[in-house]
Amino acid sequence: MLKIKNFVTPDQISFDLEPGTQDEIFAQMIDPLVKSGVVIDKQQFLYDVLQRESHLSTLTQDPCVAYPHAYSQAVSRLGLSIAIPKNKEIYLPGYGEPVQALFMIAIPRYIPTLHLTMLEILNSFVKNKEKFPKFLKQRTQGLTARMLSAYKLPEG
Amino acid sequence: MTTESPRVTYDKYVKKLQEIQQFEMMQVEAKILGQEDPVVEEQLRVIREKLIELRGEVPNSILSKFNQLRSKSGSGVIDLLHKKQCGVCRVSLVSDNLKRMELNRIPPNCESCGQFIDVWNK
Repeated sequence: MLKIKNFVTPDQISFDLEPGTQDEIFAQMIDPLVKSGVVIDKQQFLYDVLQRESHLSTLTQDPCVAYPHAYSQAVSRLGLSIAIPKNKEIYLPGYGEPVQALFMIAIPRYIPTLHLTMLEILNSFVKNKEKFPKFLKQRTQGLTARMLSAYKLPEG
Repeated sequence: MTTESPRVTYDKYVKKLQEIQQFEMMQVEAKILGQEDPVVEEQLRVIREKLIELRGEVPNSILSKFNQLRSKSGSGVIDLLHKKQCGVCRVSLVSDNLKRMELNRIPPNCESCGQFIDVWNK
């Protein structure tokens, strides 16, 4: 069973995303994945993420959260980058509401199904009306990482 | 005069299986995320149509084997890893067979787990 804590580290969490086009926003989120060696070709991975988004948006409403991701040859291992815009409002195309959080998942092509469990855990966490609002208010990357790392899918 | 029977273009079908797998996965992901808004509904409708089209372009024998693999392990088609390993079971393909797969002479299935392997994507 995939453990979310293995993928959540403070250096993969950003609070200061700059507004921009969808490409520019996603490009900022890829940087930590490049630094940690998860993504080995930034441009290729960005292209794959945008391709995936062009077929089917990963934005959910209530709360407004995006899960941009792609299977890509530019990915060496499964990885997660998190952005919580605290200072500036971030908008993605097609939706009038600012995004509260973005979870970018980098998926290597040789394990095309492993990320499904990660999506399930993240979505369950985001829908949790007690934990997610607290998560958004954490002041440091360390505390943010700790809170998500401790989350477990409800039984059943 | 003898006429050579046309060779099955496995490379073409494997590319289509890759697309089918990706679109099927998108449907699963949308379900997990509980996406219900009109934008996503419309995109999913397009994906469903695309899937019907793609499935119609792959021979039944290949498609049914692919479906079996998908229901068993979640993946039906996978990339070839370095060291010529199957991306699912990590068993290395025999070099001679790999060459024949690349030339479309034999189906590109892993000899161990049966997974379709995209031997052309390196």
